[in-house]
Amino acid sequence: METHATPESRPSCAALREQALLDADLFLVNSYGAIRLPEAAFAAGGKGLVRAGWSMLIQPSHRPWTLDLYIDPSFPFSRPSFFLRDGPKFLTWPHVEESGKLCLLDDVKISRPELVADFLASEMADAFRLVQESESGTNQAHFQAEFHSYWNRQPKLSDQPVYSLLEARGPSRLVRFWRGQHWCVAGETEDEIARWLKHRHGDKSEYERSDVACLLWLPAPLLPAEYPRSGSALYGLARRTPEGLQVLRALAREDKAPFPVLLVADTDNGPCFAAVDSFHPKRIGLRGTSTPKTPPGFRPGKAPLDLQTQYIFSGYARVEPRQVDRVDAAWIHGRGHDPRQRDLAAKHVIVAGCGSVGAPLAQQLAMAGVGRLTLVDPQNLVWANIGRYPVGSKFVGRAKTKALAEFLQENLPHLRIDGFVGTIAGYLGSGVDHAADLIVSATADWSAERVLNLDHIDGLITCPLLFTWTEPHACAGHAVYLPAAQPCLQCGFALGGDMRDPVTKWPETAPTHLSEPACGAYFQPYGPVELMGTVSAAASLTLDALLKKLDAATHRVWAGPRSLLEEHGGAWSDVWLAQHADRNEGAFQETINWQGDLYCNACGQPRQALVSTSAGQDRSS
Amino acid sequence: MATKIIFHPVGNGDMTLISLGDSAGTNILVDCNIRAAADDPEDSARDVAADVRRRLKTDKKGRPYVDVFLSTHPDEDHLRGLKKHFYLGAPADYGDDEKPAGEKRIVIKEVWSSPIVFRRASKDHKLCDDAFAFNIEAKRRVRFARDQKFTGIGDGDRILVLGEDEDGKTDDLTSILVKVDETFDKVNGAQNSLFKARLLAPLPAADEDEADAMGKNHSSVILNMELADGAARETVRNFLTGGDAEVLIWEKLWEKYENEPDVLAYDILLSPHHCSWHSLSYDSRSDKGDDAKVCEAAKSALSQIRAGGQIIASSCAIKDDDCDPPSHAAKHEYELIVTKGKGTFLCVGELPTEADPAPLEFVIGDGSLSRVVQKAALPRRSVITSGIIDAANSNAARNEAVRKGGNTRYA
Repeated sequence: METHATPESRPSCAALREQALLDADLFLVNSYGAIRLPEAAFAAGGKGLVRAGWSMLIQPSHRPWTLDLYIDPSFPFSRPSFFLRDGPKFLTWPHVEESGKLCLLDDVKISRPELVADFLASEMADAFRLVQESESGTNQAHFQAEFHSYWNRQPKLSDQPVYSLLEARGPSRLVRFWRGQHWCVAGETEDEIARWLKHRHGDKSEYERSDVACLLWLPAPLLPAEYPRSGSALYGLARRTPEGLQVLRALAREDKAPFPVLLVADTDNGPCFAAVDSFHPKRIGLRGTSTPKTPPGFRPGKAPLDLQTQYIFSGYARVEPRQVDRVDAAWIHGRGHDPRQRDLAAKHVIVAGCGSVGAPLAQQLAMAGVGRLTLVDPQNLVWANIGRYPVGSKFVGRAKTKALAEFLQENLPHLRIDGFVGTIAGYLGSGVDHAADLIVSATADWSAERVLNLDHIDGLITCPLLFTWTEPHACAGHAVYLPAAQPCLQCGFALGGDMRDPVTKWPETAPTHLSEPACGAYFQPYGPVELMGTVSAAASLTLDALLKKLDAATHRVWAGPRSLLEEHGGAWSDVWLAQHADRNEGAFQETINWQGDLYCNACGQPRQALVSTSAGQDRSS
Repeated sequence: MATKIIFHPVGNGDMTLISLGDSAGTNILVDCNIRAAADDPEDSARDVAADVRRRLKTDKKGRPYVDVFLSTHPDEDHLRGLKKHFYLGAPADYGDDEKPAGEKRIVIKEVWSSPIVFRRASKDHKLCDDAFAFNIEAKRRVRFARDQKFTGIGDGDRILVLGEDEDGKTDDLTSILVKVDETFDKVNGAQNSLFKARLLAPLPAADEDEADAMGKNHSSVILNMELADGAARETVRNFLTGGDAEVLIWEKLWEKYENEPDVLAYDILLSPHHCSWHSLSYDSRSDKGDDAKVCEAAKSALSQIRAGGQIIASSCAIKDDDCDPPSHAAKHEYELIVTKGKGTFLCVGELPTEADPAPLEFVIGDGSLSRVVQKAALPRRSVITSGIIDAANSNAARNEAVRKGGNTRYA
């Protein structure tokens, strides 16, 4: 049974820390024969901020090891750290850093910091067990399970990483490699690399050419002892993989050193990546050092390919390891574990209306991994926008779509994001190929959306539509997914563009929009926080639609907190209140079917002549 | 945090640390006997200074301190090591701030002393170096208190004089003086709900002959302390400590309190003068052998043990030989006392082993006074095997000091 100290009886954190130091000293000295270390012993770097340290001798099996224990000023609210002072060479044992620090599992939560002796006893047991397993060699497989942790810390690792767009799969194959001054990019095709680089760094011709590289799909991640340190080691690795020698030979044929080789293998948690550059073999002769490109006895280009390959990747060839950072879509969105990514990466969504709802919505969709976005809006970004917009002051004065596309594209260079300056009607009529999986309208412009709706009914737009808008002050928000011609958007609206059953109602005395000072423009005074509910509803409905989770027309409603509603002088509508009397406080999302109207003048009966009414003053986006 | 009483293995000497379970972790050190052997890392004698330091807190300037140092009387085996390990002097002149933590002298925030400090040195009143230094320091603090008119005295300058000086030298020390039979509950200038003590001695001599008969031992401070486990005082236990007070004093105390035996009642008694026969008898065992008789009055004074009480001998191992202190015959008498109270007699110098004694620790709480049974501490630089790891960790799993498993919250 847990006992709880009362505020009066519970010592302060400072008092606990003081006492903990005393208790720790007593316990370690008495229970383990520890020696308290003088401050000079831990003044040297690499140990972080240290408050006290002790040294002990542990002997899990046949020989003793010197184990130092340090606590930092937060102890006992932080874990002690352990250092093996006389451990074996780095990368001999897993979970031991270059400094000798033991990396214990971080799945420990300190539940009773006042039980210092028990806390330290548990930590000591973990440290002891780690050394025991390392000594016996039973945890060598951890080098493979956590491959990157060790590959990326080996000595002589190049300080220029490789950014990989490669697909994490076999077989061994030729790929492309772009070499820059400070980093490199590896991809499946030259176009892929060029596109990524241009998206990230601008349109430069130097991004268009890349070199051939070799990807070896290994049967298992490498142990440190297997890390290639010469060309011959690479040759040996290639021999272990199907088609490995074949691709290595193709690389050797390129005759352009250094030769980039990507080493990829699968683990239980997903694939691991490494890269090396292999240089021309260096020969030391009577006349000094040289790096001939051809095996001795052959004229350039005349050596048989097998021999040439063995020569290029020989023991005389220096190899420089590189860290690989994955920048492919599957990694960026979910670190390879999001099963939705493959589908989303292949989707194209048009977002019409990049205002205070459409812009953050577009950002959410991009970050969720939708492979291609086309942003459509006629307006420019002004200062008053940036308080609830993904992009900031740097883009004021520019077209919203261009600014947003540029911003998102640079941040997520593996996606394709385009901006069109104009209305959705203008875009669809522009002759550009607008085949898409979904059109999202966040304009709240009744005229424009009515046209979209009618075109959809008439089959001129073949992909599904999704409409999203907020009610006044963003106290409620809506997202409606329409996969087919019926039901349509009009089914839920009066002819003038007012929702039939809104969530909120507003008396005459409560203004639902404000006018800008000395200007004829009207705006909705909500901020980004109030908008989050609507954006979230729209984004989640969009993803559900793209992932084929929705069979029918679907309406996702966000009802904001009642306190916000009342603060602005509004109230729940009668219909809403009747249906949700038990959820009067609001702040929830609900998904219902979008009801069709048999007598809908758009989809329910022959279309009538449109009557012009005041449009869009009660819906905003 | 619990209230603890820790008796340190200092041979024939006293060094008792009372750690109160208040949030400040108040520490009261009663006497000290840090022998040269204990300070010698090459010697196998227990490093009691390190034992004590481990339990002490540091102030805002990083100086280790005790809230109170009580000197029961100025014998060498009750003050040995004082000059070396404790700072004596004005706080402003503390010069150890740049030293490593383990070498900084311990600050004494408040001194408790018998009024013997005011007695002139004489051939009958010789002081060792540590006692002399203590004497100087006590007088400095008294002087400071007088200069400050007994107000606004801070840490490192406070003193409480326990008992009145016979020559009137304490007459003006009213606010820093505790008279015999008075009860006080202030520790280092502040009331502490976990502590209360009644001053039982030093007793004034009845006449000049008695004054001559009284040596330093008879000027020992005798306190019956009431120690509580916490502010709610759910468990309260009495600790009776009397320095080296000998038979005459205990006999006088019995004469005084025979009708109020509760005044002398205890749950734990530090046997006076390291389990010496001379605290129980006027007879010399070297003269009379087994015919030496106990003074029944003195024994009665020391017999007011409560059920389950403890009598502690802070001495070397007690053997059936001619040594005194400790005295095997005295031990026998104390064992009779504890048997009556269904308690225990323990010798600090024998536990857990005579070869390697460790501090004897008691905890007050959960309705009892219980002994903390420490496993024998591992010698320094022992090699830790899996058995030691498993033994130390067996409690941890039960008490769930840590929980293993993944997170349930993320950001």
